[in-house]
Amino acid sequence: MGKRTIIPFGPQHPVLPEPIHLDLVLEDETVVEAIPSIGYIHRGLEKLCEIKDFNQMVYVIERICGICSFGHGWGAVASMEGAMGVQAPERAEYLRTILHELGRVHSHLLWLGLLADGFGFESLFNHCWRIRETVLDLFEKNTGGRVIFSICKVGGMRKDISNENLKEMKEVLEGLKAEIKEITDVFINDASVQNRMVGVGVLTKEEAEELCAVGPVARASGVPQDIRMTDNHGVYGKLGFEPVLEEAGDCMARTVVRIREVFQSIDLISAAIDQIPDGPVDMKVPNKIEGEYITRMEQPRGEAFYYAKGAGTKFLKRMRVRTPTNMNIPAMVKTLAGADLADVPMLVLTIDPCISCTER
Amino acid sequence: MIVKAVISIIAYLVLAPLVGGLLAGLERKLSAKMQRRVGPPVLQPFYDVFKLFEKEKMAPTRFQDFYVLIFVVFVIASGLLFFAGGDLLLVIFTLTIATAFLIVAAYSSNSPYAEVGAERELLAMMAYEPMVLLTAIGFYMYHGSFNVRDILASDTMCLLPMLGIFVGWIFILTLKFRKSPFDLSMSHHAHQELVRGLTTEFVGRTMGLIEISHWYENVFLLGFVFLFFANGTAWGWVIGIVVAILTYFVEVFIDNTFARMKWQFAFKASWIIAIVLGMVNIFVLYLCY
Amino acid sequence: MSKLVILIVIVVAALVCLAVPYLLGFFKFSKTILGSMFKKPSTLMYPVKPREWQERTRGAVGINADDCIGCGMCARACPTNAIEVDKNGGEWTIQRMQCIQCSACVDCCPKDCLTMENLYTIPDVVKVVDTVEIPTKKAAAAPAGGDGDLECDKETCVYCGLCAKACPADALTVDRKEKTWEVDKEACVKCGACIDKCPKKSLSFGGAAPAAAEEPSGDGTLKCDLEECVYCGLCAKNCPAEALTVDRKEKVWEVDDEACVKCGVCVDKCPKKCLTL
Repeated sequence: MGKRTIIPFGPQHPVLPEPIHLDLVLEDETVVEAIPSIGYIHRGLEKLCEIKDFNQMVYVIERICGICSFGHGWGAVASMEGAMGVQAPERAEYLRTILHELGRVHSHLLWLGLLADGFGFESLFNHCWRIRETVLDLFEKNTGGRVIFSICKVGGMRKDISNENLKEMKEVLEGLKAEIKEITDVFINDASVQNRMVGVGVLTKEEAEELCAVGPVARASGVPQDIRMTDNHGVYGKLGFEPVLEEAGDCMARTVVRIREVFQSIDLISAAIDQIPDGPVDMKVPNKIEGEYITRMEQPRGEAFYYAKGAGTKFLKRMRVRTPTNMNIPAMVKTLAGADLADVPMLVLTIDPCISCTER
Repeated sequence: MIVKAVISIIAYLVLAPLVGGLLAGLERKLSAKMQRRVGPPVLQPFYDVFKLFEKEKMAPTRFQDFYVLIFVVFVIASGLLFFAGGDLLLVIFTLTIATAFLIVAAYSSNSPYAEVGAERELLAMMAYEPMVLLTAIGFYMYHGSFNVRDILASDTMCLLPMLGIFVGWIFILTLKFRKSPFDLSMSHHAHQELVRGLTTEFVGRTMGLIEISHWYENVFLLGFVFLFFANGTAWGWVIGIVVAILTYFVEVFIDNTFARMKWQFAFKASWIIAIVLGMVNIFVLYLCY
Repeated sequence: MSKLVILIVIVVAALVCLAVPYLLGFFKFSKTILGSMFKKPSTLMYPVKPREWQERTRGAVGINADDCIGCGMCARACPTNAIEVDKNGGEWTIQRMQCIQCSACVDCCPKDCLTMENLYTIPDVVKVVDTVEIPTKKAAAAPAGGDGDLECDKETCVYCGLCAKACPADALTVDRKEKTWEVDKEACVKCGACIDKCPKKSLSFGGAAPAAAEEPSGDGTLKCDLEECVYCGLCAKNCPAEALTVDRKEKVWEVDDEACVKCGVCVDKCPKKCLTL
């Protein structure tokens, strides 16, 4: 047994795009304990929501996270619509589903790149992000923003996306499938990648359930947990949604779940574009919010939870968001204990941490 | 004879950093091409080093700069011995001492990243050192001398009888150049669990000196590749230089097609290669020459 | 001869060295990597080579100062308080670095004088503040002449509610059944959108006489010349009171005389001029 060293991991660290701090207690190169601490980028967005009226608030809440910004906007809007007791037009719900799934494609491609960078495969990283750029261009064309879309509002969408544009989006995405497959096959089949990921950081089904893991982390351990199938949200029910499941629970399984979800999202988008009805995308909503409402959303990283309580005016009394990373940190700490130092980036990245979501 | 040695020493001192820096620039351009990027200008490594020299001087301990200086001197010295036609064994030992001083410099900083990086560099040394020695022994077995001068003067190309050793040497060059899959102790891309590993605590001038000595080191490691082709004719020289440069780009290609492996894998792989290819090749040489 | 042998052996050795790891599962990325070397890079030498913007790209807020009436709707809608409007001083100010390009101001502008430009604010080392001069109250020609509070001529008002629908500030409340028309003077921004919309021209800013509404000729009930009618439905779409039913397939045009407020919007909108009041 070697002497114990503590390696500070973060808050500023090349592996992490966002600030989280881990004290890695090492014996030689084996991590015996990982002590996480968060709180570096708390911005008080929930409090800010209380002093902005519900139209302005959507722009605030979208900025919780740059990757799943559409999901956050939709989640908050859905909880406020619920509190008001209104239902957005069907076309708006379809458009929201399409953009949300497009957001998942872009989030997972970004994450695949970061993971490749985590195990030192820089060329794979660059190719993942090159493909993701096409998705961002689709976003820019249809919503006006590459990262923050500002297209969701209470009562529907601010802008319609024309059927021609949707058709073009479908064509682009179907064409992108081959390119994505070329890249993701490397993740699955390359021996040097397998060497780093297979059997690393195993989280059993029991552990995943006990530690309340959500999203791809839970699904990679065989827990069929996906809000898109349990909740009556968006139009997933009409698209024939089935969650992606893997059994192994290691880093590779978590990667495979996300890779399969990329293709699944593209299929969902295509199906939604095929059956999207014509009609209005916006409706008049009451000018005040009363009552309270809870919404659950399946973000790219897992289940997110939104609670809105109206103050009987244009303002909210309370807005509460709970994000998936928050729920996955216990699972991460669990897998970190006993891991190799070289595996730490893989273990931290495979929960796809979004710290700015977690701290808001 | 002496005049010739002096000329090659001066040529090495002046040209090696230029060639090394240019190779590094071309490497970055080529890597960018492989990743569908435009990439930096070819002269970017020089700009980087010039900038490093302008940076504020800062070091956790006074000794660190001293150790790094010794590292630089020994790296250049080992190159000088090589290009002056000296003893291969001496060259190898000088280079090992140089690396040892870099490791000591990293240890002296007391930073956890640098310390773990230094430990990994030690492991990497243990991984590649047998193959380096076997290469020198191979040259001795074939040419009957450890002297670079004698090897260059030989009139037969030693590539074929030493093919196994050649492949083994290419393999450990990945470790020496610190490219994926074996960029364990420090990476050129800075993205890893150890931040920048071995060189985390070096800044400014010190870091600039380390960069330049890496250029020196790279050039004379490629000089080893050249030795396999030398047969005293112009034709041998041309092939040797072309293959040496090609080798560098093969390393870039390998860098771009591999994930970073753990030290256990690096250790096992390089010892297996050294034993299988190196020892068998030495045995064949023993039987035939 | 010997050179040829050497060459062949080198090539074979190189192939073996590459093939063995490939069979072990390595080098799976080499096809993409080598293929990429012969393709155009997908990055741009930005900003030397400019980027192509999409039509919807949100870059920076632009203003057509001539149309601005200084109502301040944009400043109130802005989530980051980046816009300030000084109506009396005739200044419209935007803190460029504070703007988050949500285009909330553009959406709410009653005069449509704000636009979202593609090109973003050029990065700078200071916080850029842009001030634009807008016409002051006196210089601007108020829509209906006067400059007082919004008033409604109850004599001519038909309580159609078109004004309330047009109001960007939600300052108007109109109840057709109760025959009430109310303005929230605090909320009113005096943009004049309602005055433009009013079919009976009964709205005005106090002080000025309301423009005389042109009385439509006829006996007062809405009639349609069914010979001319193409059943396009434009009348029904524009009716503030939803008193019209048009079915193109069945060739039906019906008016609910009870509901009709006789505002005359349908008469103005009819493309075939077949409606009369």
